[in-house]
Amino acid sequence: MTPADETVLAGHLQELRRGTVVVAALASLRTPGYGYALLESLGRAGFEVDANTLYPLLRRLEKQGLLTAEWNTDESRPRKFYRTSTAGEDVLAALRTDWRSLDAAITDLA
Amino acid sequence: MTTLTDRYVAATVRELAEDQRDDVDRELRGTIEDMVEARLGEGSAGSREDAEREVLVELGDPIRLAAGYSGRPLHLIGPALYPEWRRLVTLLVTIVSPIAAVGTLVVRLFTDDVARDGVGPAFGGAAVAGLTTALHVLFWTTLVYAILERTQPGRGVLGWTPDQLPESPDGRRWVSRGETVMALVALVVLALALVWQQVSSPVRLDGEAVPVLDPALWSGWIPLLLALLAAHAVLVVVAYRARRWTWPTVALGAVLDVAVAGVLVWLLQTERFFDPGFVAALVGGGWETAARDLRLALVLGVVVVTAWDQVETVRRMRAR
Repeated sequence: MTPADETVLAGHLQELRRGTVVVAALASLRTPGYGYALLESLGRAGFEVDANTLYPLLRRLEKQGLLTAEWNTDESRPRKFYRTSTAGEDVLAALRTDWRSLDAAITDLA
Repeated sequence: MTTLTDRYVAATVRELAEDQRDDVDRELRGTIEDMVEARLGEGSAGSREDAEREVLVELGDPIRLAAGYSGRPLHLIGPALYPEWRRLVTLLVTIVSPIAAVGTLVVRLFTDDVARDGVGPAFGGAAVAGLTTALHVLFWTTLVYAILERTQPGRGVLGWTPDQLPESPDGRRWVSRGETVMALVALVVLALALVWQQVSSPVRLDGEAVPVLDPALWSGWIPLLLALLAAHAVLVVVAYRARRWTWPTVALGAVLDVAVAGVLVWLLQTERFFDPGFVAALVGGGWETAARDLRLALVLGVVVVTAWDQVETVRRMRAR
């Protein structure tokens, strides 16, 4: 592939993956976690998300009531732990259903 | 001593609402520390300061990060408003700027001491007025739309309907409101200029007001010109109410155009158009061939504009 082709592909891939971070975060945070730990685990799971995208996203999801958050002061450094709320679970289920039906639809096309 | 982290966190939370600040401050500090520790643990960064700097570079511009937290837009005018903004700016600039330039030109030609300074400053002033007006229109429209972008994000103001589509070349027979208004404004300005140059002429010769046109024209010729202009105005309104030009209205318009042009050219060629005092003022100011130059320029101008107007009209009528 020429560099131009790669740029085009990278652009499309970015578009395709944009919404998946929300799904991954909601799924992952059924076990409570804090910002940096989630960034690491998502990275290991293959979701390359920028720190400056993920941290604000967590707060937005909290504001939307999809995550609950509480400060954990047991450790050396106080950390804000997020956990998927009941509403978050519902949204996650809906997103997953949609993901599967999209996958099925695309498989049918191929 | 303030560290880079202190400054970074302060720059970020400053952009946020009061009730968010403490919480984001605390979390962001912890996160930066987590990221610094991780880098030191990997051994990829040299000193703690280097690691801190790298982490802040990764987090990027605090304004962008804060926008992520607050959901505020990172653009002045977003996609919801941009098309409206562009349409409005184009419309306003193409209408208001020429009006400002022509208005300034007319006023300056009368108020300037043309005999002494020539017409250069008047044209220069008109160009500056047109440009300044365009800048003002651009700035204020942009300001209003930037505020709208922040007060009602994601929504247009004027909206869009298919009625706003510009006429295709096929539809050029249709008479739009814009061209009607422009035609009427032009006629009124012309009529006012005719009256104004006589009753309160700002042109001065030895401190004395002199009209531009020969006052003898008021017994007959100027009233005739005013009547022809009025007739043209009526015709424009009739065409607008019928929503389209027809061959009879176009023909009548052409007759009126040619009549006005004929009167002007005949008066100019027989040297009865300008007030002798006005011409004398120009000649006295160093424009020795003023009488001839003005006559030629105006005859040429009238003929060219009239002819071009007719050609344009016929072209428009023949477009299917």
